[in-house]
Amino acid sequence: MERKKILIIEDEPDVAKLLAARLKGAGYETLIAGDGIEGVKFAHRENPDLIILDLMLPAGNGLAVLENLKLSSHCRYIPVIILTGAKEEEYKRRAIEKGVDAYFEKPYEADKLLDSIKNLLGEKQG
Amino acid sequence: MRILLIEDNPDHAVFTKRVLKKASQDYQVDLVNEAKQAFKKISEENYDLILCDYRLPDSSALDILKEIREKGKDLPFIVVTSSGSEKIAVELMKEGAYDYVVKDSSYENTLPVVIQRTQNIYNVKKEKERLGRELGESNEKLKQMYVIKSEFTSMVSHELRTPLTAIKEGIAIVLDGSAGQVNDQQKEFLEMAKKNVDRLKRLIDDVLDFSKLESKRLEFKMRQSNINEVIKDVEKTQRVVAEAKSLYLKTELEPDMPLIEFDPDRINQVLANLVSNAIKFTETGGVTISSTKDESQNVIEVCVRDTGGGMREEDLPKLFQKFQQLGGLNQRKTGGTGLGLAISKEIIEQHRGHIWAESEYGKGSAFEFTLSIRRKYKILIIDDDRIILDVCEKFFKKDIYTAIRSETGAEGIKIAQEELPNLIILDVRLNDISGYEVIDRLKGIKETRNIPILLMSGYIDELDKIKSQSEKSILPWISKPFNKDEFLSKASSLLTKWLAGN
Repeated sequence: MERKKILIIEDEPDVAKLLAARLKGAGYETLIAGDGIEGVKFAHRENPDLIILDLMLPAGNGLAVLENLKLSSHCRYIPVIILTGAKEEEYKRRAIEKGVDAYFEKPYEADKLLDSIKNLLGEKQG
Repeated sequence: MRILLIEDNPDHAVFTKRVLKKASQDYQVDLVNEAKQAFKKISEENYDLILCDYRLPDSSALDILKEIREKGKDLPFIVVTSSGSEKIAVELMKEGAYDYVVKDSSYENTLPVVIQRTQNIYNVKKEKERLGRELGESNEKLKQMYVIKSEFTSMVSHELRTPLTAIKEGIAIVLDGSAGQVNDQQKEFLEMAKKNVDRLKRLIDDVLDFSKLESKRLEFKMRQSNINEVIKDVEKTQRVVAEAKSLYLKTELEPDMPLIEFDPDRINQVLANLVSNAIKFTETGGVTISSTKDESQNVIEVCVRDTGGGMREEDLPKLFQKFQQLGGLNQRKTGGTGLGLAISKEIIEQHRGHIWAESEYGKGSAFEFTLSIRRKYKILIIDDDRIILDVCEKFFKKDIYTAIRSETGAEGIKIAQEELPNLIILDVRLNDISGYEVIDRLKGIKETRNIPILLMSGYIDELDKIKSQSEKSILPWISKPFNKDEFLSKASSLLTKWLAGN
């Protein structure tokens, strides 16, 4: 069975590395983008099965990236999980408006995150 | 509205009652015809207004008013006078009556108007008092909240440090092999964790520092120190960071740096903050740290200059405010709290120094701060009159001043060059050359050019000349004879103005 590919858009290198390690351990292939522009580029080019997106990014904030992804015909069906250190309710609301599929705050609970990923990838048989 | 009418003339009383009844249904009028009864009524009932005839059989309106005011009652009080007695009315107003009405042909119309007016004034007064009280209460609450906030921040920061210590130690123990051999991959993750714990600790320290600084509770360990040593220290620690980005890190140090009183750890903190910021925001070129001294201004200056991206003019004022890097998602993350510069500013200003930034967008930035050198001010007094020299010296007897004297212009100039005083007090007329000549010569010498000068003159014909000169070139002056306070205030304002402004 082909491994599912997850794109991580996160500018904190340590957080990205640790998240990738966690996902690899759960059997996923991973790809890291360090800012919004690179993130959108990879999303179009690499055909990931799921995207994990941070909100505070240099060169393009997370919500703008989310909007971009959900409006593009190519990427709109890729599930997006936002993973952010920001605690503002306002951001959560706007993310939901823009069509985010799941929203997690840092620090995250690995089990809950992995569960959500499984759900969104249709791996949980009902 | 309850009105007490104090009137001994029955006809007037009836007339007034009628006028009042006609004016408003809301007026309830009680009548007494002497002071004794009036006091009894006032102590028994609550009145909104007292209408009092100015002359009564057993007393006068003035006495009644005084008595009421003494008892602390701010009751609106209107005195009714006959025409020609306006003087009395004014007397009563001074004592606290709200208004007066004259018993003349227009009485019928005037009385209700005056009553209305008085009522308004009284209401406004009460409202002001109420607001004043509320404001006072708000202020008290705010003060309390501020104290609570400070204490809370301190407590929370301490609470956060405890688990942090445990995490740090836990990681360290595994990393150094004490809990068994560690493979490369384990080592990699542990080092990542350690690095972030250190970062977290720095953030907590920042928050705690700032909270203490803001409430002026941080204690500095002041020592006679050499700023160049601090600069060298910071250069050593930041060298690695600069090299990692292939940037240069240079120092240009003033060779003859005097020892100054400051807290070396805290100034190190400031400099480290400025240098690490400079490195963070520079991609090519590098950072230069320089130190200079200006003895005549009593300061040393440190400058951190980078060849980074620079900043726009409109962003400069916000720089040193707290939390300026946060706010919004479009931020370049620099891994800080946004408190670094705010903390640096507090530290420098509590050292009685100044910190500021200059920048050119696209070219780079320079962050600079000054620290004062001496707590003692050197004052040079040049006057051919020995008595004046003695008097001035006495004025500067306080231990923050050192007074040096000279009786001639030539000697004065020589001393100024050698001693580099912070202020020169100069008589316009000297034995050898004129005070103006002295000023010109001093302005021509590099070291003494910027020393502030206070001109003195005892001759009336000189004063106009000085005034016109001083208007032209803004030369501060004082005329003899002068008194101690005027003299010291002019001298010290010159000192502080030059030290702060320049």
